Amino acid sequence: MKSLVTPEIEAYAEAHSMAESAFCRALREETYRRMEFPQMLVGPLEGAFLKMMAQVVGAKRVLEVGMFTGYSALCFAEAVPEDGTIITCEVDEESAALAQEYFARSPVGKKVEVRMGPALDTMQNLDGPFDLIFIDADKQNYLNYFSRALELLAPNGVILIDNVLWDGEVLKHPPPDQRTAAIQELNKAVSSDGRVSAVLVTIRDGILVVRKNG
Amino acid sequence: MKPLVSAEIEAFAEAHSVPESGVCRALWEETCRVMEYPQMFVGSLEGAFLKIIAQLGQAKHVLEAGIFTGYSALCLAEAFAEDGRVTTCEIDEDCSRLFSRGSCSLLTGQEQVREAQL
Repeated sequence: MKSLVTPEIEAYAEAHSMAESAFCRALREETYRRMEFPQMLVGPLEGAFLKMMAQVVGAKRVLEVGMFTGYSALCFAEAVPEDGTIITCEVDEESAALAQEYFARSPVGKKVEVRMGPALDTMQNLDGPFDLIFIDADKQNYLNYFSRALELLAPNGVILIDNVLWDGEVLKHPPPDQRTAAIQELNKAVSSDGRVSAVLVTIRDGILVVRKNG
Repeated sequence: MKPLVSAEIEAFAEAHSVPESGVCRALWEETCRVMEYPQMFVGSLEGAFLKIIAQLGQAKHVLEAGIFTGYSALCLAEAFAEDGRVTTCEIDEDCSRLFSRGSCSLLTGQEQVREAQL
């Protein structure tokens, strides 16, 4: 995934945002050593944004749809208070094994609860409300995840949806593949949904910030 | 000021974000007509971002340092429930005059314009 801004601007923004913790840094480095697609990890700039959003809404209960190796879950765990919790969904055993190693080492790792299995099944069996829901899993199910997330969201909560610019592919008509089509459909559905307000923030690969209209 | 992402990406992001209100749009158009540097205005994407951040933080009292022609103050004022308030500072009289003349009658009475030297 290439950055939507120049690498110099990306580096400048990172250098002037809150720094990642030592645990996040070690996890990021190990993910790059061990995993086949390490670029799925959100990285320090988006990590700082996620953390700040959790702090702005005063999140105590966070739901993550798509954990990968646990970097963003760890960012959330660092942002919520002592009694805060992160429930995170993952299907891939190898990613989850790496995540669990780091959750065990981090002083905030105990706040994270990993639910293995298809995220839609997990979400069906969860009770809300969640103050923050981060969606970053298989793109074909984005709209399904959003629909369920809206039911689980607290009145003043926020839904954050990752990769909504999809490396700029969303500009292409017709869409080059099914994943791009699914993201285009999601963007259109959310931005025209009268129940919510959304802002598409052009950080990293695009993040849709969504709140319920009160 | 040009956006740091391509114009197409900026437009896509704008098209999928909450649209600006009619009052904001009118203020922007008048700003373009009468001001020398209309690009100082934050624009609809940043305006939408300011608004959602104010809402998510459940802001009740906002302080703005630098009103320009009032676009961002208006976005912030639109973010609140009835009892919210924006206090905004400006040194250039042309700016605050346009804000007052252009939009006061359409506002909900929550805004408080203060001219002040920062």
